[in-house]
Amino acid sequence: VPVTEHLGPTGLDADVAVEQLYAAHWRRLVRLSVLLVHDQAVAEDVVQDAFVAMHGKWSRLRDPDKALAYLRQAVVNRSRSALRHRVVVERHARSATVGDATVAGPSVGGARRDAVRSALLRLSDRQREVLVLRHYLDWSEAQIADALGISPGAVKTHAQRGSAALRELLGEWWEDES
Amino acid sequence: MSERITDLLHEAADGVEPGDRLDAIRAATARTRRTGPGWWAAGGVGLVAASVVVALVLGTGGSPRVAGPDPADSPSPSPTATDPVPAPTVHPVPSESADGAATAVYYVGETPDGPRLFREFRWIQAPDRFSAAIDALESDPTDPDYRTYWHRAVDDVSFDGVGADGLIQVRLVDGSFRSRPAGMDEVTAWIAVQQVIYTLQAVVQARAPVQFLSAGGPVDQVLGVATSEPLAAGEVLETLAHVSISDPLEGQVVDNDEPFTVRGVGNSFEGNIVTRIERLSGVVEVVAEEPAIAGTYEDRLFPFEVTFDLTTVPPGDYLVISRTDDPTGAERFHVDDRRITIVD
Repeated sequence: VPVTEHLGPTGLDADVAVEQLYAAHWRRLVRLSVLLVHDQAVAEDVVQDAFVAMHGKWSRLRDPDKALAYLRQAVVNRSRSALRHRVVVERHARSATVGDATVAGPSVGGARRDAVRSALLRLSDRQREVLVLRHYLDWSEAQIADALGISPGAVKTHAQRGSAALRELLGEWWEDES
Repeated sequence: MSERITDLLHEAADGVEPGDRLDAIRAATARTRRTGPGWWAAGGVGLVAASVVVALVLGTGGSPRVAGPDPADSPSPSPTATDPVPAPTVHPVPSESADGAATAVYYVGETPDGPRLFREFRWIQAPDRFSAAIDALESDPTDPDYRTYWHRAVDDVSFDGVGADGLIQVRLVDGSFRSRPAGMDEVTAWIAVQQVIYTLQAVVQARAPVQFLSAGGPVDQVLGVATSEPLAAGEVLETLAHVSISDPLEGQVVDNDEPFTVRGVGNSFEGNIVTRIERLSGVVEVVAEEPAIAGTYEDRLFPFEVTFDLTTVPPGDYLVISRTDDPTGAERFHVDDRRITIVD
């Protein structure tokens, strides 16, 4: 179906917008969320929900750029709440079952990847978000400040403290550049 | 150091190959295809027969409350509909109790007319009535559609005098809020300053002017907005969103056995505010829709209230959406929404 058939006076149709944005950004948005929530299945849920929400708000967005901005914001916000929810669930699980939990270890090749994702989880929400937006999405401090609703000065502070903490947490993974 | 983090994050993320969720997303959005954007144009036509409509028009005196939660066990302040609202103010009279009172905190959100203020309610405890409001102003709003510009911004607030004769003084943390940050336009900066003014005026329940201070005294500008003199609140219809939901709260759990009342304030063409409930998570569908009469013309927001019967609505996550009317057909609606969870 030619895209133009969906162009009405208000621009793209919501369904077409979802398909186009999915094709262009699904993978990258899931990866963004993985850095924020650690777990891939949770990240996919988060981004799927963000797309569904974006579809519902299309009449207000009406523009692929705005929709992408909305998606990124939704992924950051929803990742934060998914993480909080999961922390609560995991805390419950830990206190409910004593000693019988087994956690699959990372493969040797993925060990550094896993170390990085785990280290990210131990940062504060803001430090993690600032580092990921700055270094994974390559956003400017002003863009991050706007997206997170914090001042550019606060972005700088979180970035500095987050970087230092990450370096500390990663130890030899940080030093070994192989 | 910076490059090392970039490399590590890309290595950690770029190995991830996401599964395909396009079909799941299509399924979840499929139902809206049938109703489409037409709802916005269709106005207040009820799609599902649903219950009582209570229209509150200010000035009729009464606030017929259909079914409200017991204030003792409900977190919802619902001050606009339960209390008579003094005409000249947009601020709701807080519902008071022994532990404190609810106050409105204003956050920035988007409307077709640019950024405007929306409000959420917070519980404030005596004796320090400012600290909870400042805490709220400095932290993220409950509703992810809103934002605040005042993280770690305010050192101290004081209010001297009585009512509008008093002066609210706000001392900011340091000079970092003086100039307008890159990427923030003038309108947004002005709205952000109004965010502080409206929130603090709500706390003191008076339209008292606000003086911004730094350590040394009055500060000449905040976010690039001139602040040498005390500032007044902007005109309501130029500053606030034209619809703002008070009840339910974001994320509220609602029992479908109880009549469900949506309350808020608005100003709309012919007073029409339309509220609908949409199902989320899985299938998006409209389960109920009701019009209400708020008000129009004057420079203020009028309370509105609608009640839904949810007894046939299955448990799940829903979106409550209230919007203004637009007689021009250009669909320039002001909209506010809340996510709720309906339970049996």
